Amino acid sequence: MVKMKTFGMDANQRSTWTETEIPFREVTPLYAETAKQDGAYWGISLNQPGEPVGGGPHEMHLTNQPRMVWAMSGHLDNTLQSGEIRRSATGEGVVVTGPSLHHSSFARSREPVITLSLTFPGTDTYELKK
Amino acid sequence: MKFTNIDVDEQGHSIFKEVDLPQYGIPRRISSKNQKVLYWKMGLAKPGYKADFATVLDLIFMAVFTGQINFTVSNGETRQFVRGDMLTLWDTRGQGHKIEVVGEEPCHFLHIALPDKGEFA
Repeated sequence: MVKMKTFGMDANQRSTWTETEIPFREVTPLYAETAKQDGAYWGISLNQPGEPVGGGPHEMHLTNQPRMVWAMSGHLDNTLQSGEIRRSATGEGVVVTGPSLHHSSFARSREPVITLSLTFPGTDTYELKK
Repeated sequence: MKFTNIDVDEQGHSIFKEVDLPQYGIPRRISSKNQKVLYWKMGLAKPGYKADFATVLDLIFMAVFTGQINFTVSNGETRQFVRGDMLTLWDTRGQGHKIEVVGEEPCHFLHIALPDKGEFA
């Protein structure tokens, strides 16, 4: 079982952190994998450290599409409306859901932040196949 | 952005090469164009896991999130990939490659199967 930190919504429809369990099935005692899942598109970005995405250090935005985003070098910070900031270090990722307002920024370091994003079909949430 | 690629030569040998995925944008942020997805899946392999020489069923873009995984191609060259590394597997024919998860940490990885090579050159 792998868990990923996830953008969720509280009872007042404000974005807050939750978790997504990624369903793996055991193939051998040494190897497990997920079912084949649907995807819409993927892409890579290279971001200069310390630069916020979009309109400044306090902006928040929607994505309107569910996706997973991983930091493949450097550190990525995400802030939700709850005020909690969580950091993804290299190899760590976050599940982004369409209606969750969030702010993204890149930690100051000597290396650029490379992000890998995998976007799913739909506009709101995405159901993983088991 | 350049990635290690496992490709096939004219004799069917798998070989390490390099591919480039063009990035566009402004100096503070450059991005690839959106690339198509056939399907995706994640794998979780414990240290000691091995898979003998085999081809891939589809063109694969692979990202390593944790652990260390060795790829050996049919000319005998081995390269190690770790947390944060990304590579492409184009060896859908020929002798294929073998893998071994080494170190003390499970290897968590993502495979994105591609319908074509998209913008990779």
